Amino acid sequence: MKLKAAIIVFLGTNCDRDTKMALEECGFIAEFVFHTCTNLEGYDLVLLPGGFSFGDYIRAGRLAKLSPVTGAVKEYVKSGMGFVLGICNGFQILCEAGLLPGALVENANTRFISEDEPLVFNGRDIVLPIAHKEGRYWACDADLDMIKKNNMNIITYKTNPNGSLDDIAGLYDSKHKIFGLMPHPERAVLKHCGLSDGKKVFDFIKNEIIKIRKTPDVISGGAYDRL
Amino acid sequence: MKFRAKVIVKLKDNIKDAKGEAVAAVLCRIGLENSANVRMGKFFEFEITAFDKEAADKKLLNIINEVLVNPVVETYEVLDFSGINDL
Repeated sequence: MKLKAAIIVFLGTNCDRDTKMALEECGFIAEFVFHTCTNLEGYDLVLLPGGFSFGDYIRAGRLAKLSPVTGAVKEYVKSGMGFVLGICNGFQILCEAGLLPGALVENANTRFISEDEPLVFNGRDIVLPIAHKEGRYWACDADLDMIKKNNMNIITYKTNPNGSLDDIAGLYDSKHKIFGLMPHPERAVLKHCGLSDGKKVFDFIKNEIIKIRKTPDVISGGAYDRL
Repeated sequence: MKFRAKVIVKLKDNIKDAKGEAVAAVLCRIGLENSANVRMGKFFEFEITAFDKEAADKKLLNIINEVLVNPVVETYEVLDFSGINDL
């Protein structure tokens, strides 16, 4: 059975179509869901794609966290229905909304960086494109301790192009059901993109979803209480 | 009653402010100031309508905390919050 993904489209999202093509190539059924949606039932994966939601006004991800769908994503997470993935602007939104710890601030060199970047993902070397200006990960000491304790830093930069704390390029939440990352796996799936490691990320996520499906865990108490 | 707020939001002091550092480096290079320690932020100016000052203060705090500031990385300062005379 194919897994069903919702690709959330905010005003200013611009990686939605690439993401749909990449997901379909990786065997998902993918649908666009507008940011005014308030119910995400029935989806195995909720994906917040890259782009410039609400023009990055105030801060990247700040206004998107106030969209109706963000409340629906929180409900989706609480009910344990499936997996949430945020790519680039999607990662920024997840941090702004408090679904992942820490925040993304302006790159240490103040530039927009667009490069193919060597990374370590779940212990494996991969290469994915990055394209961002606000991708420097920052977290307070307590959050950084929690990240290490719960093995949440699942993807790290090898050469840290933006000055991120502890080379963090992406993060799990403490329950490993929300995953946000600055690199763009969807731009490394289709042949014409030149890179292919994005498929490893989506295959990994597929396995995570299947794990969730096998051990349905309706989350009560603990990590998601604050949502 | 109508009030007008002026709020500055900036990165916390313990977080590297890359833009501020770039400006400081230029100030140093052109010889205007060698230790400017520049911090850059964002300025917001907006109006609030409320029954009285107490209600307006509450509204202002909600706007700041829910929309203008991410307390993980930012801090803010209210520069001015005063009533506007409706003529």
